[in-house]
Amino acid sequence: MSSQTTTISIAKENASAIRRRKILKVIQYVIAIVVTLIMIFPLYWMIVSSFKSQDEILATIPTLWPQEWHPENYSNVWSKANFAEYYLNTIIMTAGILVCQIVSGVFAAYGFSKGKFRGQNVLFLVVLGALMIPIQVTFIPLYLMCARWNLVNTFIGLMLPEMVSPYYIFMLRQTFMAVDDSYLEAARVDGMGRVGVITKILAPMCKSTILTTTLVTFTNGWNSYFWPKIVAGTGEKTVLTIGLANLKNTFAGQSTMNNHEIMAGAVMAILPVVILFFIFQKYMLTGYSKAAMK
Amino acid sequence: MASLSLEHIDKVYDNGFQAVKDFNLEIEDKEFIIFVGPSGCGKSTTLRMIAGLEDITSGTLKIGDRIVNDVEPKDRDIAMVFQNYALYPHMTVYDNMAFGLKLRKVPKDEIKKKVLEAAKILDLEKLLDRKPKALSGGQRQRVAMGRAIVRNPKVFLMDEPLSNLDAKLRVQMRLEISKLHQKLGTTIIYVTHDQTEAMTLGTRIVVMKDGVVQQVDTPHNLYHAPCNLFVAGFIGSPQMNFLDATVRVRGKEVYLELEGQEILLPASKGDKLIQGGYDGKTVVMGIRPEDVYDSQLMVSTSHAVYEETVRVYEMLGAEVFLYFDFAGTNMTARVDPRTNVRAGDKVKFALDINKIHIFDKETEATITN
Repeated sequence: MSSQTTTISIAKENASAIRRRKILKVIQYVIAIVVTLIMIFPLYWMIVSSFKSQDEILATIPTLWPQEWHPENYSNVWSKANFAEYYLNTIIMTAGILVCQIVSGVFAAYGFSKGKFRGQNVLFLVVLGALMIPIQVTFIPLYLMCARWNLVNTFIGLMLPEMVSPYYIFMLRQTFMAVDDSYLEAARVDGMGRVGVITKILAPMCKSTILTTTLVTFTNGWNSYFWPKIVAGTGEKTVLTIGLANLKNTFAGQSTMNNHEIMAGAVMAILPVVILFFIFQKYMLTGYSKAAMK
Repeated sequence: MASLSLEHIDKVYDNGFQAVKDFNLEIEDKEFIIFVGPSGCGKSTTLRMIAGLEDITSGTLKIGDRIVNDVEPKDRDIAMVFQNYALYPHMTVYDNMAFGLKLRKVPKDEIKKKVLEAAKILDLEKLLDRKPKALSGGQRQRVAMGRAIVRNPKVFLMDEPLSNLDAKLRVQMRLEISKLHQKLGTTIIYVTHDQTEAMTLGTRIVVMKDGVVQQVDTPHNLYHAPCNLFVAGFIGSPQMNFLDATVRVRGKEVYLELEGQEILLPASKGDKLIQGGYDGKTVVMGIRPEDVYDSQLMVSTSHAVYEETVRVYEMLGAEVFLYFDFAGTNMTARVDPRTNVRAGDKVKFALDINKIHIFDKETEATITN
C-alpha cells in the first residue's frame, strides 16, 4: 500500500516536472519571437515602405503590406541622386578602412598577445581606453588635423579616424591569446619568419574571429555618418549615408516629402551589408565565442 | 646527422629566476639522449634553448662544429615534436608534413616523394587528406613525427611527445620511436618526466633537478650506480627505500647499525666508509624494493633479517608490492607474485646487503659506488 502511494507520488512529481519544462520552453520561444520581431520589424517596415507610394506611407491607418506596388521608387532614386558615385566612394572608404584595420589590428594584437616587452599591459590599457572615447569627443582636433594636412574631402581624410580600431585589436588579442605558443614555435622551427607565422599560421587559425570582426568593421565603416558628414559633407567624396540623408533635399533643391524614395535608397544602401552577413553568418557565432573564451 | 655540444649553458629569465645552471654535455652523433627530471627542473628549457626558442643567457651551444647560440630556429637544421603536436589545424596531414619543405623551396616532386615515404614508414598513407581534428591522438602523434622526419634534420628534439596519449598507446608509440631511431639513425634529444620512457628509450639519460644536471649516464648505470640521493630516488619505480643508519668500524670490518642490529658490510663498501671517515656518523642507506626479500631462502642465508607487519599488499600480476613500516619509514618490497603474505601478516624480510647504496646524509652524494 505504502509503495503504491510512493509510486503515485513519484509519477505526479514527474508529470509536474515535465509540465514545468514545457512551460519554460514556451516562455523561451515567446521571448525569442518577441525579441526577433522587435529587431526585424524596422527592417521589414523599411522594405515594404520602399514599395509604397508617398500617400500610402502617410495614410492615417498604416498598412503592413503595400496596397499598390511601386518598384519605380528604386529607379527614381538611382536616376535622380548620384547613387553610383555614393557607392563607389563608400566602397573605397570602407575597403581602405578594412585594409588598415586588418593590418594594424592583426599585428598589434600579435604584439599584445604573444610579444614580451616592457609596458605591454600599460599600452594595452591605453588601447582599451581609446575604445571608450567616442568620435564626438575627438572630432574637432581630428578635423583641424585634416584641414591642416589638406585632407578634407579626400578619401584619406574619410578613413583617418578609423584606420586603427581598438575594438579590432582587443577582439583579436583575446583570440590570439587562446592559441598555444607551440603552433607558432613549430612554424618557426619549420622555417617561417615572424611575419609568416602571423599571416600563415596565427591568422588562419583565428579565421572566424577575424572574419566576424572584419564584418563588424565593414558595417561600421559602411554605415558611418558623423565623420563623413564633417570631413566630406556633400562634396565630391559624399558617401551613401550622407547621400541618403540628402535625398530629402535632392529634388528641386528643397525639402520634399519623399519618404518612399528615401526608404528605397536605404534598402539599396544596406544591401551589401545584408549580403555579406548572409555569406559570413556561419563564422559569426564561432568567431565571437572564440574571442570570448580567453 | 650531427653531434651537439653544450658548454656552461645558463638560462636566467628577466625576473632573475635561473632555470638552467652550468649545463655541460657532449652528445654524440646518433645518440638518443633523454632529459629527465621533475617539473620545473629545466629540462624543457634546455631543449628549447637547443631549438632556438629560448635565448641562451651564457655558454656555448654547438650543433656539429657550428656555434648556434644566435642562429634562428629555422637555420639550425633541427626538427621538433611538441607535447601537443602543434599540427596546423587549417592544413591537411599532407600539408602539415610538407610545410617545412615548401618553406625551404624544395621541388614539388621531391616534397611529394619525401612525404609519401614518411607516411609509409608511419602508416599514415590513408590519412594524408585529413585535417588534424579528424585524427586520433596516436595518429596526430605520428603526423607530428612525420613532419619532423621528412625534413631529414641533423637533430630531432622531442618535448614530452607521448604525454598526451593513453597508457596503452604510449607503450606502442614508445616502441615506434625506438624503431624509428634505429631506422633513421638520427641524433634525438627527448624530454620526459616519465622514467619508464627515459629508461627504455635512451642510450644516455641526463637527470636534472632545479636546473642542475645531477648525473649523465646509461640507464643501467643510473639505476645501479646513482650518484646521489636524488637520482637514486628518482630513477626506479617503486622508488628506492631510504633508511638512516649509523656506521660502526671495528678493525677492518664495517657495520651499519640499523634498528638496534648491526649489519656487516661487504669489504668494498666498508673500505669507502673507512676512507671517508664515517665511523660513528649517520648515513643514509638505500635499498631497492627488489632487494628486499620475503623468501625463506634469503631469510635463512642473510644476516640482515627483520620481522615486520605488512600494511598493504598490492598485486600487479607479474609482481607483488608489500608495504610495511620499518625504522621510522615506509618500506616497499617487490616480491614474487606467488607469495602467501597478505596485509596484516607478520613477516621476516631479508635485505641483500651486496645491493645497498650508502649516501652521505649532508651532501646526499653516494659514498659506496
